[in-house]
Amino acid sequence: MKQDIAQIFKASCDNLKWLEKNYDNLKENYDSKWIIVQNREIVASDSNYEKIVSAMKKIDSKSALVEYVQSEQVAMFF
Amino acid sequence: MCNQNRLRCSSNPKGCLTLKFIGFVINKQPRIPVFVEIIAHHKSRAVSFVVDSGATYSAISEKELELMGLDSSIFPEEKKISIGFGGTFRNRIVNCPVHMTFGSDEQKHKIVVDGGLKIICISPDRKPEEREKMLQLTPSILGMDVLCNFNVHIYRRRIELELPE
Repeated sequence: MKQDIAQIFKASCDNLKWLEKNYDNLKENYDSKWIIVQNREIVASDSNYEKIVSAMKKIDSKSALVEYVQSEQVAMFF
Repeated sequence: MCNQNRLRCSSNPKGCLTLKFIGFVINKQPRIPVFVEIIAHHKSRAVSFVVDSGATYSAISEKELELMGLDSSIFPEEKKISIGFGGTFRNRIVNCPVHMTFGSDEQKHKIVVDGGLKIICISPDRKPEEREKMLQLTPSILGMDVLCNFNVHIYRRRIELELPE
């Protein structure tokens, strides 16, 4: 699917905003899973990373967001 | 300002004095979408970066490169070591110009990292379950080499990168 950069940005921002709004609900339903968010909805989920990479290849989107959902807060220091 | 780490900047303000780019705080991480293009490899993708004012340089995760269709092992190891809380480690580096575009509505601002973008690699010595865990936890990082071009505002639920006039 061809997307121009403005479309990619809008879709990407919308996906990120949707994730921020819904993260608490996602923690209940998709805890410890990878999800793919496209057009503000979950189009694939799996606990295995390689399966998510395969799903992304089929989706072929430059704006889809791939996220690992975790309810347990991990202390991270960069 | 744009010469650090060999950066070049360009914007397309359409009658607007201040460019502002919006991100969101997700699971306690301030995140902002950046469109990353690696022209030499004909690859591009929107990447969600964690804004990290404590990082000297920006870096892309092995995961995001793979989702872009690139295998991190094709890129060379850096000559210098990096230091993190886990100790010292050696990254790989995208050894060709990387275009990073920030966008909002009709505004865009492009930063070209000529010196190459660091890759946060997972050591091949890791066990498969450790590798999976590292992939889950390792984000792409927007460090001070890029952030020093912006005024950075972090709020409770959102983040703004503002390009000074």
